[in-house]
Amino acid sequence: MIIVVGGIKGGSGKTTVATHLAILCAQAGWDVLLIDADDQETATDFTILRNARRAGGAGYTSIKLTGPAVRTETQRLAAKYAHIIIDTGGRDTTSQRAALTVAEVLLVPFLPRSFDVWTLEKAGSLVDEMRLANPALRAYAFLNRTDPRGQDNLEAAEVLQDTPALHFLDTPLGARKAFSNAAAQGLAVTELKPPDGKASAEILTLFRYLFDRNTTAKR
Amino acid sequence: MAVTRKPRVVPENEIEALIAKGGSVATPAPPPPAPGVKMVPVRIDTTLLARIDRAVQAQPIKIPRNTWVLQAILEKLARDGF
Repeated sequence: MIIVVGGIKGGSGKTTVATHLAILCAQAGWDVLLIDADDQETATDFTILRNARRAGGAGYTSIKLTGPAVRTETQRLAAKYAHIIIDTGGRDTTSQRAALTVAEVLLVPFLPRSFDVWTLEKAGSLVDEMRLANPALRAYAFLNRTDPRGQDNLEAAEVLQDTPALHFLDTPLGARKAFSNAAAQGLAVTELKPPDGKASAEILTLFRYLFDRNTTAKR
Repeated sequence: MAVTRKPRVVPENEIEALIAKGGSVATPAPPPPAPGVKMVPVRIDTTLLARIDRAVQAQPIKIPRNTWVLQAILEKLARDGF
């Protein structure tokens, strides 16, 4: 499966989600390729740290691609990997569009904030446009860095269900320090010691939603 | 379902056009040229050259023509914001 973690708003946690999906795929025994198509290259930096910190290496392969090459190289490499995760930047770039022409799934994280959910319409327009080239593209929106309490999560979830272009996934990730603690060590939250049960449960719920339903396992 | 719509194969040029509508990806600035001096032959009208020479001669302190031309170039670059 080819999954793009994208959107058109920066700072929504795309790289955290992309790297977690890559790690969880690797831990499930799949050959996985993480493509860093974001010019900030944070996924690449994370992978360098992870390779340095772990005796067994990152557990997945990571490459950097930009522009139309994201399409051509992903097509070329798709047969070699069970899953490909593509981390794109928070803008409507040629890299993200190229990724969406070959992806099966687009995953768009949204923060439960007005400025973030206001980008939903534009994200929906991008999905509609890219479905001209890739009619099978499935697009999902979900909440990231949700508040521990208050109405904002519910209100944002309601807004995210407004567009038919993206299907809302009720698999929120909380604003938990465990994610940044893990990132600083080149780890997924599921690898932290001591473990953070809530953060692990949240990312695993999202992972299982995506992979239990959509994969024909090719280990 | 016995009858379905004919599947549409999207032409590659349409896909490329869709991709090109995205914003450009940031690329690193080109490296500055290596320091040094390069000879650049310049074609110049003789009348203009005579005017330049008159201006060089009119300088209170004697400077080479090459220096005067370089000063003129620097003044234009500063004026145009480069």
